[in-house]
Amino acid sequence: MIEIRGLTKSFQGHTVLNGIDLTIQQGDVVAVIGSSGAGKSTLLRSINLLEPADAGTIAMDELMVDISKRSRSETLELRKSTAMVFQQFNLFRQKTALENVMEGLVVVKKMPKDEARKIAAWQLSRVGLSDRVHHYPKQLSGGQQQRVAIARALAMEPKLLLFDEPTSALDPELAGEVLDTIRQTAVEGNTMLLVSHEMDFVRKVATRVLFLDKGIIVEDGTPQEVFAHPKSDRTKQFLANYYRDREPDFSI
Amino acid sequence: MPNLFDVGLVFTLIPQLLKYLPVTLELTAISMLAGLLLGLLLAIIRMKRIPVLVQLSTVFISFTRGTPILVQLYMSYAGIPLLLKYYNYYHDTGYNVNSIPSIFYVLLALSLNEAAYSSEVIRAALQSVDKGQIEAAQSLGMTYGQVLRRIILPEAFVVALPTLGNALIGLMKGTSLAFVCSVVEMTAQSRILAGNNLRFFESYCSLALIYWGLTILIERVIAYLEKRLDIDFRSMRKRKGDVIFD
Repeated sequence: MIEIRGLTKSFQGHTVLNGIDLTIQQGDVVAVIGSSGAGKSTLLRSINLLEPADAGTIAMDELMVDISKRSRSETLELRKSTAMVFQQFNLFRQKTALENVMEGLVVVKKMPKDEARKIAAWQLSRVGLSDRVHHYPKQLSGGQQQRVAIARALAMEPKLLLFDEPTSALDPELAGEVLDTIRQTAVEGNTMLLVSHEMDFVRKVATRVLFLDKGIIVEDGTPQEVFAHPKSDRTKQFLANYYRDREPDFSI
Repeated sequence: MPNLFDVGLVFTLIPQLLKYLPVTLELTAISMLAGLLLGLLLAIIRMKRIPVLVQLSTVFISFTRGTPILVQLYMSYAGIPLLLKYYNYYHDTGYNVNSIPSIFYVLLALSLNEAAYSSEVIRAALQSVDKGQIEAAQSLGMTYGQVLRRIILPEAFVVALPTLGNALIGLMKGTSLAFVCSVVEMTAQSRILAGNNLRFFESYCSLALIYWGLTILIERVIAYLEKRLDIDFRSMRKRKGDVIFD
C-alpha cells in the first residue's frame, strides 16, 4: 500500500501541488487526468524524487519518507520501490534494448549478468520485442522504444509503476501498440499510477481516476463515476471538451 | 656539387632516434592519462559549482591556457626544487632535490596543461548527455557515481573522442619540449646526434618523419575506435553473436 500525505510543491511562488493526499492499494490502476499545468507530471516526479516536493510524506509498505528530511539512502530506496516510464522514453542510447533492461538489475540489484540477461530477454519477449534485443534505441521506432522502456521498468519489479504521458510523443498507430502493452501490464495486477490524455484508454483500463486541478485532487472515483457523473464543475468543464468530439454533429 | 644534404643519412638516423621513442611515448601516455583524470575532476567541479574549488579551477584553467607550455615547463623545472627546499627548511627534513628524476617536471607540466585544456572538452561532452537518460538512470535507483560511470561517461566519451584524439596528437608533439627540463627524448637526441656530425638538417628531417608517422598512427587508432563505437557497427556485431562492450 502506498500512502502520500500533504505533498506540497511550488515553483517560484506558483503552487503546483497543494497538499496532495493519496492512498493507493496494491493492484490499483490509478489514472491522473487534468489540463496541462495542473501538476500531474509533478505529482509523479515527486513520488520518485526526480522533483522532490517541498513538504509531505510518502510511505510504501514499511518504508516511510518525510520529503523535507529525507536522507540519501531513503531517496534511493524510494526510487528502487518505483519505476518510471517517461514521455520521451529516455532509453540509454549507448546500450542495446537488452542492456537497457539489464542495467538496473545488474547495477542497482547487483544481479549476476547471466541471470539479468535471462530476465531482460523474458521481459522483452513479453512486450513483443524478442527480435529486437540487440537493437540500439535509435534503430527502433518510437513505439518499440517505449515498449523497451516498459520492459525496463517491469524488470525492476517495482511496488509502483509510474507512467508519465507514455504515448504523448507517439503517433496514433504507435500509441496503440504501447497502450496494448500498458493494458496487459495493468491486467497482470501491477500497481500503477498513470498520467495520460488518452481518455478512452483511461476509461477502459483504470480502476480509479483522479482529476487534478491547480495542484488539488478535485475528483476521485471509478472511471464510471468520474466520466459519467462528475461532481465538480471544473471536471464537467474539462470533460465537456472530451465529450464534444464524441457527439454526433446532429441528432434527430 | 658539394654534398650539402645527405638523403641516406636521414634514414640511417631514424633507428638511432627511435631508441628514444619509449621516452616520448611514456611522456605522452602518462600525461594524457593524468590530464584526463584531472580534467574530469575539474569539469565536475565546474559543473557542480563546488564553492572555493570552482574559483580555484577557473583561475588555474585561465592561467594554464594563458601561458605558453614552454614557460610552464620552465616554471615546473625551476619552481618545484624551490618548493622542496622550503619544505625541507620548515619541516626540518633533508629531501634531496637531485633525487627527483627530471622527467617528473615534464610530466607535471604536461599533465596540468592537458588537464586545463581537456576539462573544457570533457565538460562540454558531459553536458551534451541529455537529461532524460540521467533521470531514467536515477529513477532506477542508481547513485550519482553509478549514473556517471554507467550512463554519462560512455555517452560523453563518444562525443569527446575526436577532440581528445586531437589533444593526444598535440600532447605527443608537445613532448618535444621536454629537453628544456634536461630530459632526453627524440628531439633532444636529434640535437645530440647533429652536434656530433653537424648534419642538423638531416637529423631534423628524420625527427620530423617519426613525428609525422606517429601522428598518422594515432589518427588511425582514433578513427578505428570511432568506427567500433558507431552504433550501427556495434549492433551488427552483436547480432552476429560477437559480444563486444558487454
